[in-house]
Amino acid sequence: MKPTFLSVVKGYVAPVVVALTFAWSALSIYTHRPDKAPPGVDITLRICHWQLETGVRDAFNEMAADYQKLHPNVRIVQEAIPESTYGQWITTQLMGGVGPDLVEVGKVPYNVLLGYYNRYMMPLSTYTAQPNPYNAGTEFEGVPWRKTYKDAMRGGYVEEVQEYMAIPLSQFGIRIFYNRGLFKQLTGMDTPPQDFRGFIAVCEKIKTRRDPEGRFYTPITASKYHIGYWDAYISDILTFNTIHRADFNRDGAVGSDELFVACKTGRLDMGYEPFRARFGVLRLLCDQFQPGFTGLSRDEAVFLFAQQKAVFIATGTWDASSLMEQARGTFDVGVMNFPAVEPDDPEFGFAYAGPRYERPEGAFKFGITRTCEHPEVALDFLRFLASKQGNEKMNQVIGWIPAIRDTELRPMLRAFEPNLEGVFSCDPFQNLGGETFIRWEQLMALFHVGQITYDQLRKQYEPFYLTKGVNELAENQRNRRRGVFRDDQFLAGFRARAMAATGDEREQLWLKYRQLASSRLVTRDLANSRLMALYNKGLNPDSPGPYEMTPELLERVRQHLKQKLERGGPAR
Amino acid sequence: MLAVWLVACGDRTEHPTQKLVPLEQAWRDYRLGEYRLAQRGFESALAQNPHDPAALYGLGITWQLRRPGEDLRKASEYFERVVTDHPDSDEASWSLLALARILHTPPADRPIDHDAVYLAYQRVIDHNPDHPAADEALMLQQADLLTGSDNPPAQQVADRLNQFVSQRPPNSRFVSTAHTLLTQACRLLGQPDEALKHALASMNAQESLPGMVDDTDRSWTYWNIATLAQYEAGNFDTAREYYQKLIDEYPTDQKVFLAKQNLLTMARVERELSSDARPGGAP
Repeated sequence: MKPTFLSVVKGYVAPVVVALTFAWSALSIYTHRPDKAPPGVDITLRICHWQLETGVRDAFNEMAADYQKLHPNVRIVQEAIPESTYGQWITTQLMGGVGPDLVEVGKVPYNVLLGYYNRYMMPLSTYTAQPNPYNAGTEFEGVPWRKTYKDAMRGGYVEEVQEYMAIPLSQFGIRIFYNRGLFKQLTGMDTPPQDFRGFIAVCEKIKTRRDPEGRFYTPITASKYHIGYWDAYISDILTFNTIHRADFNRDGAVGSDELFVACKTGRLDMGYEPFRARFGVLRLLCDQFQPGFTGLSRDEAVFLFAQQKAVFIATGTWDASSLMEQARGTFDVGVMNFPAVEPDDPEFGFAYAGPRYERPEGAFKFGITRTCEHPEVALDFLRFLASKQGNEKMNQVIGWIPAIRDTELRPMLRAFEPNLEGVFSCDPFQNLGGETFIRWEQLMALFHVGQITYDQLRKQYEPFYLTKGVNELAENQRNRRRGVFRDDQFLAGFRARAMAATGDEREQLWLKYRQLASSRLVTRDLANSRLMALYNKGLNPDSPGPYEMTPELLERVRQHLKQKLERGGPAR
Repeated sequence: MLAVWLVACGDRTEHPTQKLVPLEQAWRDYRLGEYRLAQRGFESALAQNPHDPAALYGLGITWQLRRPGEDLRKASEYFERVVTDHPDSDEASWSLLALARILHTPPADRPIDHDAVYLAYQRVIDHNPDHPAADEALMLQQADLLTGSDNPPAQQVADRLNQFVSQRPPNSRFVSTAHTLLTQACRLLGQPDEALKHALASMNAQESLPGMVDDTDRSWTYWNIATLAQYEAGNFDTAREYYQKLIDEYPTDQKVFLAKQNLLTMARVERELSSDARPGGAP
């Protein structure tokens, strides 16, 4: 039978599609090549990140243009990848050997990230100890780069690799955003109160007001994502004084193992008044959120705020510009610090120990890939972005907090300056192990929505914790042992480097090796063994706490004072 | 045509490890967690020189520490070969230390035989007492004595380590670590003044090299000395000095708030005690 036109076409569809696709890809590559290297440009640097928030891409474009004015032969191309796919994307890029020159680090599990640091990224420690040339003419001229950071560049240091692997460009902070106009309209006040009781009182007032359609306003819009901020910044810090009873190793914090030992030996229980205070405050807060908030996503909570149906929302600087953008032309957004329980609060004031401590740690971190053909230029661009002037400008455009010291902030961001002295939560009931974690989360979810009281939570959790916790503490101890091989593994590799090195480098590597062997192997169990001895021998619940002055200790102090006075020293 | 095109588009960047000699390449693969490649590298080095202790040692380490797929029996055989065939080599001491580590780190569900661990570390020390591995073995041995039971032989540890530090120049290898262990031993023995002395000595004996950038974070050291001085030795002057160092040198540290609280507590306690403490005052 004579083939018809249609059958001929059908028979060639596949090769034709392949040929057309090939032609299209060839054409695309041909037409994009000039973009990659336009006339006069010798070097193109690719930088990738997942920050699709308002301002970030504009800031990179602006900084790239500024950099190109100084270095006309360099062109910076940014690739902004959605957060949800960034991990997979960067993984395939790095594994394929075609990764960008500069990458924002993160969005993969931490153990995977450590592997990426080792395989695909350049260590930067040498450069962080050198002055940043773009700081010439400022107070940071000649100052080691990392010392120009608010956090001394701690955010870029990777303990496991023992190197600075990334350069932070911003700092993040969390505060309360509020709708100024709506707040005034509903409360008659200009600014929200900063004391907890006053804040709850205005929230209660807002709850009684209705919009033009007769629906009640929500004082605070929240979601499962947001609840942690309110708890961490207002209620959980009331547990700080637990440190005086349970910080057995005196490291200035209460670990989940220490808390369990304190509870198991009868030194603490969930009836401890600061724990009750935390949950009392949290109850009052949760009552101000919209119904069903635990089932909502972060975006749904933001939507309620943008729709002017709620007055307050707690979120971070990363959302600041986006919130402003959504509110533009509709309402004014104000920023306030979290209200604090005051020492004279009749119900919870006894648990007040101080304002919340906020660790100043650099974020929005970038590393240089090993496949970068011009690592010196990539480093130079990072220096440009993390210079006093560059970092200030970049963060001004984005609306974030600069990572470099003594830089100017947008006025709105002044409320985000971290509080560097204060207290933190000391009741890690949920971190001991898997089963207690799940039980705690289940009960907390019920508490959040008001289905159970703290006493009911305690009644259900405490016996479970004290029983299951025994196995979980034992598992923690086994995990400590399981982790030792990683240190042995790392140290064997490090030792081999030291054995192969020569000259000054050899001396330095051996010295570093001994420091690592000492901290990671020799002294790693000293504090833990004391805690476990207390646990195994049984701790007298009435014995003095780690920060208490016993009569014997006071006698020692008295003797020291006496000796000093006899020597003619000043008595304070 | 398509294949030619794809090949032409391919990445021609030279892998940065291509020019390394086999042993260096094998260690590099080991550090990257490529244990199969590391094993092959060490085997190929061994094929080139069947008596190379470095290749034998590398194979031992790879079989000991690769995960998954470790083979401790095979690892021990390689280490023992190094010790038997090359007893004077550097690798012999490190192999003995690795054998001790195998005993010290059994699977988490099996108990540690602390007596056997003690003897294994002693074997490293006896083999070549001047080798760095012997010093490390001594520290690990004494640390295991201190942490391996609820009633550690603290006096025995203190005697052994006091002997070690008395024979070494200050700031030499592992002297600082020895003082840290002595601090713990003295705390267990109820000797807080001695413990504080060793904590200070540990800090002062930290090794350093001329021209090396000192980026040591001392915030923990200061905090530990200060709290030991305040809450165990009752030596408020020393406590005050080190809290102040923490506050001045690490002003953004989480512990600054507590340090300031502790300074206030000490001032209050001293005020309360000062009348009693005057010569002739109440005991």
